[in-house]
Amino acid sequence: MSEELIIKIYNAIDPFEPLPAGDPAYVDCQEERGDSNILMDLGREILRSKRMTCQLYAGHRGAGKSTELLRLKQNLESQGCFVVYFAAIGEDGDIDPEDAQYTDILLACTRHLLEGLTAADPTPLLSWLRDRWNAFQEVAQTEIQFESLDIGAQIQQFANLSTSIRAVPSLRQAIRNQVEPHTVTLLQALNEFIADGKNKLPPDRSQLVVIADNLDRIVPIRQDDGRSNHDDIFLDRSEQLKNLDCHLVYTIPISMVYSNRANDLKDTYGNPELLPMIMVQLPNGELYEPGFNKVKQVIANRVNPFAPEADLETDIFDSADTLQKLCLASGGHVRELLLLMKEALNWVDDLPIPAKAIRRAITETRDTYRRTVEKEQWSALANVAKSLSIENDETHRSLLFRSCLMEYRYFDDHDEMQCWYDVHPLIKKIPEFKDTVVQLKTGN
Amino acid sequence: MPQSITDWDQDLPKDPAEEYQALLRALRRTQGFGLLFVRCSPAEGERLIQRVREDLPEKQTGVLKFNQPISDGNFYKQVEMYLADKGSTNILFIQGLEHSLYDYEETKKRLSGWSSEDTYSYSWKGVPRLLSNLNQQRERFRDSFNVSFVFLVPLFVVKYLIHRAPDFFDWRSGTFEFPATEELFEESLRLFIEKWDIKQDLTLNTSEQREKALAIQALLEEDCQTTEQKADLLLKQGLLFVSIGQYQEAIACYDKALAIYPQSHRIWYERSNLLDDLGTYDKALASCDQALKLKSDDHLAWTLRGNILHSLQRFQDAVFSYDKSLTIKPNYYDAWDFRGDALKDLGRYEEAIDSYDRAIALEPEDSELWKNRGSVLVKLGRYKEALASYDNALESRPNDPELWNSRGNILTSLGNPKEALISYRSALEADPGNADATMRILTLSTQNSDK
Repeated sequence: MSEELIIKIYNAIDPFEPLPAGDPAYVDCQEERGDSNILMDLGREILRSKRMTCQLYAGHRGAGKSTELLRLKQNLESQGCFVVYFAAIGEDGDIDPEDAQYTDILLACTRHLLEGLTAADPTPLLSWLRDRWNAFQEVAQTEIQFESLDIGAQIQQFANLSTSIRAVPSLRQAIRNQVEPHTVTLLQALNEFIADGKNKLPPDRSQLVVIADNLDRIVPIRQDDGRSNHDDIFLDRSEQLKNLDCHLVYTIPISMVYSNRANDLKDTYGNPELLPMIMVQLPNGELYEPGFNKVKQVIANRVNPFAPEADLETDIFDSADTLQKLCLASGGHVRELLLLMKEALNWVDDLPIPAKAIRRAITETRDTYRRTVEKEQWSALANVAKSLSIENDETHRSLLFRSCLMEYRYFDDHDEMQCWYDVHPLIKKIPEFKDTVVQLKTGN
Repeated sequence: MPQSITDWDQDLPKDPAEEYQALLRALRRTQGFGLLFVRCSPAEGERLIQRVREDLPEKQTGVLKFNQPISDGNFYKQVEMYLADKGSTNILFIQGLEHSLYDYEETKKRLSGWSSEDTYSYSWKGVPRLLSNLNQQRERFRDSFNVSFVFLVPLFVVKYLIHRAPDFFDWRSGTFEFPATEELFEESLRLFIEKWDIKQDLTLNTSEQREKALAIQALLEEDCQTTEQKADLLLKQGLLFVSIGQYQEAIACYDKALAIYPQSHRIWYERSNLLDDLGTYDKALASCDQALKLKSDDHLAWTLRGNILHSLQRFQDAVFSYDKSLTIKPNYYDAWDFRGDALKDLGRYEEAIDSYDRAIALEPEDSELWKNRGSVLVKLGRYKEALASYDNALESRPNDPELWNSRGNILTSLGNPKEALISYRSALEADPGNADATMRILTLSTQNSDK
């Protein structure tokens, strides 16, 4: 019986899927994430603003961004918005994360708006494409005559362009070269299309929102001039990114928020929304009860469907202490928590999970972190552990990007938002880290 | 408190038997798609596959093994083709991904132990296609393949995945480690060294280089070895880098080896040798002195030291070093030859000729020695003897235009322009565009027509 239950839990704690909105496994961690509430922050801005908004959303990998964005989508839909959500990278994605440019994003938006706003008149976009068709024909070496296609197939050509850019590296640049000089006219056409679409929204919808998820997975490529493709896309092309005549939410890489361009980013888009970790410990290292309870809840929600009667602290884990150690080891990072739990189950034949299995999972995961940190990054980590703040440089950005450093937020007694950083709890016990901390102390 | 805090901070020691049981549980329990990463040597990987097949007979297993890089990096496609062919599979073992990662600058930097600062200057530019394929297609893997993937990979690939395919690696159900047993390590090491010795000249093609480098890397990753064994592997890794012209990486390997095993005179020597080739003579000299400190009767090191000093224009010291070398090994003709060169630069021509003579006595067929001898005789104005020396040199190198030109010059000095002309023409024959020969012939012809 126990094995059967283990198998069910084991397969339920997969880190593969963002939770769909309304999933019972979801745990609202707003307060423990420094009052980060996507519905209040991004959502309210959209609902209240008279003008079109363009907002950025960032967070650690696996912290739950997609889950939160799917919630936002549902919430906005229930409040009269028509939402076009797409994962730009990933399954059926439009963009190759390793080589992405602004034109790719624009084409992806176009494609998904076309697919979403089925009632709108596509003529402006189709005539834009018709004007470019000869050039595309040459690039793609196709004989297809645009006029010979029916409207549906013509629309499909935008998807084809997008797919070619992602999937056929040899065509990628050639297609971009054709689109690039005409982005202004494409935007005009797209906005005409959007304007018509907004008039033809279903009766209960009045606003149009586009959510482009997964853009944070665009790999930063540093160019010879020291700038990156992130700068190109999110800063240089910001006017165009913002220029769609609807509400926009773009995900961005967390490293961008901390880059030396952070101020430019803020000037352009306002403060990006950031999804911090669930705070399980206070800056002074004490257990933060509310956050800890939320993390426990995440586990409980995955276990409950299969064992509604089970008590986490006796039936699933051998003690309250074991459960606590697991939660603290995750640092409030949801995907990490699931990984640790799964890893721990690899080490048991029966429930409850003993302390030893959690320690085993911690050992294995710690090894991964030991391999993540580069030799000369230990001292940066030791400094953050001491100061609880980060410097704005490449080293810290890269450590944030790889979740070796975590960001937490809370409201202090004066209701002021406090933001602090800590080294991943598993890293704190790695000998290299401990040695560096000692060196730091004796060196001073 | 049932556990003290210190208990939680300590890593649990790894036990291969327990590790294997954990792997079995993960495989038994995973329904459908899953990603498991196992760090092990290729030999250990084979054993694991066999054991899993025996212990989980209810699961359909498959093995997708690569012996070559996946040329387009499209691992997804390879899996798709394999499964289409194989049919129902629950567990798919993947071996040999390291081949697809080796041919990248970054890999080489990492293997040789460059700091991340150095490697990051390559940042992302050359991310192996394979890794971006994994990262990018992870949802497709999940949705298309109802299979538990078990990646059997060396440690450096694990690190690579952590750094360069983090999104893919994040989806794992577990990581497992199977370090080689001492017995298995010794056996693999013996096999490797046997192969290494057979093809020592290191004229390897790309795939042989890759194979050797990966074999070294696999051995280096094992814990159960002495520092001496490890240093020797690092030395070989360095030599391999030298053979493909990756000199900085080679130096990094030597430095790593010396950090753990500074008592190896061979490594100090190879390091010095390479530094000499790279023209960093001061460093080369220091390294060579270290080698000699550890083994003062190494004639090769004394000779190398002489060469370095010669390059530093310390001719007298160079001669002293060659003398040391020759006391240890009197019939080492290279040292006699180099000694001659140093004496020549000191202007001690008679002694230089003696030195070349000693070398020639040992190796009469070496035209270079005859040529060197001839050039000193020219300096002394002993043209007839010089002529004889060059004739000897030409016997084994009749197509060397420089030898013919020198011979022509000597004949000119001997007042025999006719013969000289023949020599220059031979030079031109050997090298039709030879400017020196052309000019000499022109000069001689004008002089002749003047008469």
